[in-house]
Amino acid sequence: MYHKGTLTPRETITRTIRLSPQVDLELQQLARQERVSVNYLVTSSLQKLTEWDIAAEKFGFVAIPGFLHAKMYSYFTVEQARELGEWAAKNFGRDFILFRFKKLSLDTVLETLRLLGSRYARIFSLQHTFDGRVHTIIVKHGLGAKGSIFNEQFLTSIFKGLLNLDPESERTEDQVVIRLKTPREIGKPTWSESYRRQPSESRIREEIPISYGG
Amino acid sequence: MAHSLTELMFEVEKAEPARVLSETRTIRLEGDILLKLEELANQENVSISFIINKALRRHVEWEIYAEKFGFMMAFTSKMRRIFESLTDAEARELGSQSAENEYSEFINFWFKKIDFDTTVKALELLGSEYARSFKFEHSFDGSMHTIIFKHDRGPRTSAYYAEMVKVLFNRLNLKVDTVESDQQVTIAVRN
Repeated sequence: MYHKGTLTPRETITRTIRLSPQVDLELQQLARQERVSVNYLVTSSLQKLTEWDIAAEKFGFVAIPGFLHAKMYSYFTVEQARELGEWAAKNFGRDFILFRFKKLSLDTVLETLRLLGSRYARIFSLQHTFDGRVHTIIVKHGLGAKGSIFNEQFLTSIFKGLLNLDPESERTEDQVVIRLKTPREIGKPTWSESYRRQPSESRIREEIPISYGG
Repeated sequence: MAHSLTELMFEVEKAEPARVLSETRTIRLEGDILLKLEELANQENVSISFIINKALRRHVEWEIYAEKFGFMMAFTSKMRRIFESLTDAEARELGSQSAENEYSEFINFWFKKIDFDTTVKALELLGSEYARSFKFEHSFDGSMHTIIFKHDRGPRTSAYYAEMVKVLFNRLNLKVDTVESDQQVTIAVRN
């Protein structure tokens, strides 16, 4: 057994659970197929539950076939795709980040994009790199040209409208690339906290108004 | 007297719950996952074991297939807005195309054959707590199946689903009548 407050996040404990025979059998078959342990399957599905499923259900996500999503964009005009992207950033983007992480910052925006690009949501696949000066965010969505316009507008509106940053973007038919110059590394304290801690010289060079948009 | 007999019967039922066969399995969990599960169990007033079972059932019944098939998550308000941008004719055309392609592939992928039962099961799955595309109701009065999709996403979504089910059932040589409202589609299927 364990005691609350004494268990650290990376410690592991063993627990005996009762499973329906059908679920147990299917887990064993799946583990054999995928060449992983049953324990790995159990842990990954529980991780998904705590990281994604609960929030997704409460926030109103629905599952749709990916090809259908792509087809929907083909009915749009360029202007409609752009409007939808801006609307999604202002409404869904802002609301979901606050719902899931309780604050708007570069870290929480990036964490949200990671979640949307994860195996859990599968909305796009995301690659994020940081060379010490520029964040490069690559979103591969497979939704075609109009889907690319939507995603470009969604991403730039999130960074501009919610974080008051100035992203550069490029798009091709199935991919959007965002480049973002920022004064700090990911994983350090949040944008506003690190801003306050900057020495005066670097603050002058990197000063960006902190506003979370309208 | 009758009242106390009823009470007694309830007590007996409580004292002898139906036995459910189960397997015990020992698993190793990281501390943070367990703490979150415990928090969740407290919030929902259920046991951790119940939550673990629910998550694992979801994994084996939905998640592995959904990922392989290419289901993705979409924010419901965005879906509503996408459908509202379409004309009625476009929504119906999309519904018809989806039935012929994506949803036929979906039924085949999941159930390995397309017939009335697997079509209804597939629609039920779309309305399940896993996919949440709509709330699903199905009843049968001996001669007619009545199926309801409650989606709450406006008239174009109704047009889309109405056309989709017409194509799915018509090709099984069944007659379909639909009643569309802004938030729901009611479907009557007869031989």
